[in-house]
Amino acid sequence: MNIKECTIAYVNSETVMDSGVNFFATTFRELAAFNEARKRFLSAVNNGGMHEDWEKGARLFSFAHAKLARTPCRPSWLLNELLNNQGGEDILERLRTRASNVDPIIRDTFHELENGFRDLSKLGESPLLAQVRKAVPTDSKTVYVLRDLKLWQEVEKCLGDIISRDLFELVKPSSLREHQQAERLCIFGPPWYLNYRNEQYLLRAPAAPKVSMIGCAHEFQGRIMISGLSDKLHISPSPSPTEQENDNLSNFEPFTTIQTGQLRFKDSGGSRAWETGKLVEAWSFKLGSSFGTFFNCESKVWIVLVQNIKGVPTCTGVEKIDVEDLEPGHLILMTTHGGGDMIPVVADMILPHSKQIRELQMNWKERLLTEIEEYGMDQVCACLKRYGATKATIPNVRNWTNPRSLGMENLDSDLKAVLKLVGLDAMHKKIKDSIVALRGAHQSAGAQLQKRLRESLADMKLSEVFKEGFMEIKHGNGPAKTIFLIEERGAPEDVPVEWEGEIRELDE
Amino acid sequence: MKNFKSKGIPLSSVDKNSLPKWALGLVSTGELISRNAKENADKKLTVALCLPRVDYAAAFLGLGIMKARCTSGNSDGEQERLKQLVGKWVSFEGPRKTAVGILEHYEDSEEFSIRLYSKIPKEESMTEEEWKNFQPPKVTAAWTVLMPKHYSKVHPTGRAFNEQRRVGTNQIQSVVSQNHSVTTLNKLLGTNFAEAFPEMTKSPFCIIGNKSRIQNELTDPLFENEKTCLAEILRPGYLAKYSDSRCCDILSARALNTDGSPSVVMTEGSRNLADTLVSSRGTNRIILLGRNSPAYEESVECLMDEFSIRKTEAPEIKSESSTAIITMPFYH
Repeated sequence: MNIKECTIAYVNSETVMDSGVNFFATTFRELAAFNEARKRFLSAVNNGGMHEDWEKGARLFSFAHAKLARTPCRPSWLLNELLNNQGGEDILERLRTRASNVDPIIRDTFHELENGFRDLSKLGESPLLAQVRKAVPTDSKTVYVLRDLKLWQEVEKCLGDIISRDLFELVKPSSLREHQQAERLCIFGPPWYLNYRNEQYLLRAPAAPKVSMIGCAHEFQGRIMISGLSDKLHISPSPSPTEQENDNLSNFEPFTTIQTGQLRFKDSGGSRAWETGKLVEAWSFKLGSSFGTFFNCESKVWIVLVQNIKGVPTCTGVEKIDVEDLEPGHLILMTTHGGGDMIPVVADMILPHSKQIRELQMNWKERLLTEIEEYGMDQVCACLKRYGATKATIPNVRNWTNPRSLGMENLDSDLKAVLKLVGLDAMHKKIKDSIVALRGAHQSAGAQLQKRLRESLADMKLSEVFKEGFMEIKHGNGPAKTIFLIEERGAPEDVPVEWEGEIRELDE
Repeated sequence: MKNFKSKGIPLSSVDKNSLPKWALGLVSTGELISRNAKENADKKLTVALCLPRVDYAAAFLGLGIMKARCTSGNSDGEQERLKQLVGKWVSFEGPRKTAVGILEHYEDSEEFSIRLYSKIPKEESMTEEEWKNFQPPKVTAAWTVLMPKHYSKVHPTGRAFNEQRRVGTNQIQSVVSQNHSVTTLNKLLGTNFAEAFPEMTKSPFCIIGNKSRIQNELTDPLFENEKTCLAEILRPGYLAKYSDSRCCDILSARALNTDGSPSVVMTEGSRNLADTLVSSRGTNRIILLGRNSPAYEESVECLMDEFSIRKTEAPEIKSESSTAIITMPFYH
């Protein structure tokens, strides 16, 4: 970010702090009635110790309410998707068979909710769109925030029906952390929802000087604190909300958005020679096809941007984001053997004969590992020192065996000693040259990363990712990378630093 | 939508006569913090600054700290400063051109003048034989007598000046070019930073945060088609040319120990903030919290914990220039 962009960010922030946020509330009668029944149902199910199916039903109703209240999707389309394409009808069918055996309050509310679904299914347009027409001037460009990437095409279509395509743009909330120049920002949902989703930055450091929020009158509540340093300063929507805060936010959150439990991974067979025992705080993620991985909480990863073009999900670019912002529905780019670091992949694109060089690397590393397994780390270090290595300490030797490390700093004494130990001393020059070439390629790759990744994925059809949960991409004999669908986010935990980015099987 | 993530779009030449309000606000905040810390030397001050983003914040606050140091001398500071420069090569930024010469002082009249003349090599730079045979060049000297209002425009020639070479157009140009950043920033900030900074054994402040981004902020040009950059004032120690006269050190966000105990530590809020707060209790500190940061909530929580444990009242330190800058000062 440069000074000019900073200036825009400060002006946006000052304007929003001084003028506040315009809130456009719509009366969505059918949904308000559905929501009342939903809350009663949820409360009864939670208190009653009910069968798992009832809990699934409660989550289905909550999910439907959340999407209808906080996106401008057509209710008829959304409910059809939920019930007929995402297994919602199966859940309802199972509940219908159980309904006669449960508490009359649950049974009656369940029927009320089913009727609610029926009424909502008849609506071909979201009432939120009426507010969009009212809120958004037709002469300036507006950026609309959309959280759920699965609804991208539908929301784009709904907005496109009432606004010229070149006057609006859909963006993910996380992409607004860095400055983007917009004239107006429009957020769907009530103020309290930003607190719940930790998205207060959309108002605290806004990407536009004018911010509108569009939501349903029945859940129009909450305030955003400007800084958190003082509870006196708020960004209040205008008109003011009827209530200050929601009493039970968890009632409103749909399932599959934020998971708080830890994911369980299959045992990978204990620690390996290169593991240092150092721990790092990492988020766990469930990837498509029963895989999972950990990412350091403070690292960044590459995601693939996708848009539906003529009904086919198609890559439109790549973006580096904070792991903190990685969410279910994102497509993450990883190396085929694991890891979010794309530099090796691009380095291999740059480097001629990269395959042979990598094989050469693997060869001496594997031989060194065999020596360690056979004689132990202490013996190997001592032997390397005898052969002239100057830095053969246990942590260094561990690092040399790590498949992700390029090699040792000293390619004369240390590499020579290792090669002598593993019986490859005749290849010293060849291996030394290959490590030097790899290092050079890694440095160039850092600078060319985004451009190369974008080029290699441009206009790629990504249907397979959504069907299989992942998709491997190869370019001729070049290096392979894999796009994974993020399905769930687990809780952060301390894991060995070497586990970061490793693709592991989940224990389901 | 275009994402302006690329760097290198400096302020346009239209903006050249002023810095943005928020930047001036940060400079004045840095100045206030520095003065407050100096006036209350028996206490340690913490100031949390909540900003739309942290980019450039440390750099402009650093300018404020340097500004407070530079203007905190006595009223006769300029005259005293010039006395230290008597007999040395100095530059004088005149109304039409910059002159270079040796500064002289007349004790009777308390006047200063600059003697502009061909240079004489230093005796110690010549062998005994050479010195014996040396014929001083013909003096084509002229004097510029300085009026007190001009004192602030006299500065040491600095590193760009080669005393062993003739004072010609090229030499003056190089002094002018080196001084340009300092002169431009002096105009923008109403300061009087000297082009040649005194040797310093320790940096007055250090910045803990995203090292590579901060380094770029200091060395990237501020204006289009110009070389003015903040590094000429902030003189980060990592650049070899400032190693003897550095004003700040830049450390990565994971650093817990600051070298040379600077009088102010500026820390960008990150997940390491709790550790940094503990390790920096012995110094004055400025905590920069970017409201767009993923670690914002966590950073605020750490800071409020620190505040509740160690707070004592501190006077308000508030920027009038931008309502987007929110401050919370306390003594710890």
